Amino acid sequence: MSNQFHSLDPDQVQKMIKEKIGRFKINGSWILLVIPLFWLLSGFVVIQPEEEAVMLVFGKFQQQVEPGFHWNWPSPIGRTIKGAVKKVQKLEVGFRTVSINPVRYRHVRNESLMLTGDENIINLEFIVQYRISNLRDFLFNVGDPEGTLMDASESAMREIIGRTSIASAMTDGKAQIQLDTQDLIQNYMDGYQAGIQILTVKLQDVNPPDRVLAAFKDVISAQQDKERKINEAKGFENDIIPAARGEAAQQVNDAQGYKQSRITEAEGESARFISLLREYQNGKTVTKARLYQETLEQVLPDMDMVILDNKVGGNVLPYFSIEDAKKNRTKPSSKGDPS
Amino acid sequence: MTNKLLIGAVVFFLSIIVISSSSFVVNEWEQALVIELGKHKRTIQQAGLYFKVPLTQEVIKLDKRLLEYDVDPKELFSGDRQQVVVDNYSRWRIVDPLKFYESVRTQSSAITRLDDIIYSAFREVLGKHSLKELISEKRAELCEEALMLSNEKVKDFGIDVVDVRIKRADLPEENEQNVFARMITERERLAKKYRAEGEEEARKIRSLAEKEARIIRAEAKKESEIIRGQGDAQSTKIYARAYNQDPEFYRFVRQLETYKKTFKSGTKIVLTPDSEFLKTLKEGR
Repeated sequence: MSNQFHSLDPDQVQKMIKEKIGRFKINGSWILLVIPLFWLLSGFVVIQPEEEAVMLVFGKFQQQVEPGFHWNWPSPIGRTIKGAVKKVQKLEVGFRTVSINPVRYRHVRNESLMLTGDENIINLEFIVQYRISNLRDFLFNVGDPEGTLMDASESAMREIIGRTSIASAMTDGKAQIQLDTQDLIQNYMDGYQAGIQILTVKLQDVNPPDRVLAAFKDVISAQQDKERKINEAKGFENDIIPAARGEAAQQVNDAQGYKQSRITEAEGESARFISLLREYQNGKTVTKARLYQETLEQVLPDMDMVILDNKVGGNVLPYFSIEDAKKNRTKPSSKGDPS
Repeated sequence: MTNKLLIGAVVFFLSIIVISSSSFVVNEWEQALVIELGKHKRTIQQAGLYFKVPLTQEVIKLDKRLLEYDVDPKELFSGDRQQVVVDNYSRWRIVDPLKFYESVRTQSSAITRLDDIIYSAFREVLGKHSLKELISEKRAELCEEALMLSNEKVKDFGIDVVDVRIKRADLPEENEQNVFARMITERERLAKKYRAEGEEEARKIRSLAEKEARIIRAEAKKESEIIRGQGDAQSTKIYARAYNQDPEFYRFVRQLETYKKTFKSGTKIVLTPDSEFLKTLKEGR
C-alpha cells in the first residue's frame, strides 16, 4: 500500500482524499448503521477453556456460560464477567513467596505463631489450595473473597491447633490437622456462600518458635544419644557373649580331650601292665630281679652318690663320694688315690 | 441534508442525557435507595434497570455482599484473669438499606460501630470463660455467643452480622516469654529423660550381657569338670581293673617307676655301707 502512495504524485493523493471525504459527506447516514453495528459486534466474547463467565443485562444476572464464543449486550447495557473457575489458586498463610527464581520466602510471624492445645507456641506455615466452584456466588455474595478466605483459614487453623498438642502437631498429627482445617474452612465458606471450594490444606513448615528451637533440637540429639548408647551396649553384648560362648566351647573341648586322653592312657598303661604281669607270672623272681636291676642301671649313673660309714662317730661325717672319686680319677694332678 | 444530520445528533444526545438522568442500573451485588428531596421513596434490592424522576430524585447505592470487618488485635481478660490478645474478624451485610442509611450512612462508619459492639460482646463473653476454653475447647461456642450478642445490638443499624470469629488469640508479650521459658524447661527435661533412659537401657543391656557371659562360662566350667571327672573315674576304673590282677606286683613296678621319675641327675643319695642297695656289692666281693 505505502509503496503505491510513494509512486503517486502528491497532488493526486490530495485529490483522492477530497473525493473520499466528499463521498462520506454525501452518504453520511451510513454512520448511523455502522456505529451501532460495531457496538453490537463488540458484544462478542471468547471464554477460555479454564474460564466461565457470568452475563448481566442492566446489572441483572442472565446466564452463566461455558468456554467458547458468546454474545452479550455490550456496555453500557450488558456486562460479561469472566472467572478462572478451573484454575487452582493458592493462598499462603504464615509466609509469602517473594520470588520464584530463586525461590525466596518471607515469613509472616504474626500469622504463623499460634497457641497449641497444651499452651505451647508453635510456628506453623501452610497453604490453602482452592478454586471457584460457583462463579455467581463468588462474584455476587462476598465482597472480598480472597480476604474472607484468608481470615477464615487463619481462624480455622488456629481453632484446630488449639485442640492439638504441640507434639502431635509436629509429628503424627499433621494429616489430621490438614483434613480438619480443610473441612472447617469449607464449612465457613459454605456459610458465607462464597462459591469457593477448598481443594487441600497443606502444612509447610511446622517448627517450634525460634526462641525455643535450640531446646527442641537438643531433644532430638538426646534421642539420638539414647539410640547411640543403646547401640553401643548392644555392640558390647554382641562382643562379649560370642566370646564367652567360644571360651565355653574351648573349655568343654579341653575337658573332653582330657577325659579321652585319660581313658586312653589308662587303657594303654593297663595293657602294658597286663602284658608285663603275664611275663612276671611266668617267672616271678627272675623278672622282679631283672626289673630292679634295670631300674638301678637307669637311675644310678646320673646320681651323686654318697656312701656314709655309720660306724664313724664325731661331728664331721666321714663319707665317700663316688662323684668326687670320679673327678679325682680324671685329674691325676690332685692329692692322689684315696684307696 | 446537513441540518437534518445536526438535528438528529442533537436529538440523540439530548435523549441520552434524559435517559441517563432518569434511569439507573442496580447490579447483582448492589441495593439502592431512591431519595426524593431528602425523603425516602423506594428501596430496591433486585438487580435490574430502574427509572426515576430526574433532578429531584437521588439514588443511593449500597453493597449487598458480605462485607469485611477486620480491626487491630485487642487486649482482653479471660474469666480466669488472664490477659489475652484477641484478633477477631467478622463478616456482615446490609439487610435493611434504609435503616442503615439513616443510622450509619457509610460502610466505614458502620465498621466503627461494629467494632464497639463486637468488642464489647467479646469482652462480655470472654469474661465468662477461661483462657483454656478460649484457646481450645470452646472457641466455636464463644464465637457463636459473641455473634448472638452482637446481632441483638446491630438490628437498629439494618445490619446482619453473619459471622464473628477469633482469628488469633495470643498471649501478651510477657506471658509469651513465660511460655517460651516453660517450653524450654520442658524440652530440657525431656532431653535429660532421653539421655538417662539411654544410660539406663545401655546399663541393662551391658549387665545382662555380662551376666549371660558369666553364666555361659560357669556352665562351661561345670560341664568341663563333669567331663574331666568322668575321665578320671573311667581311667581309675580301668587302672584298678588291671592292677587288681596283682596288687603286689603293681606296687613293685610302680615303685620302680617312681624311682625313675624322682631320681634326676645330680640327686645326691646317701647310703650306708650296709644298706640294701650295697648289700649285693659287699656280699658279692
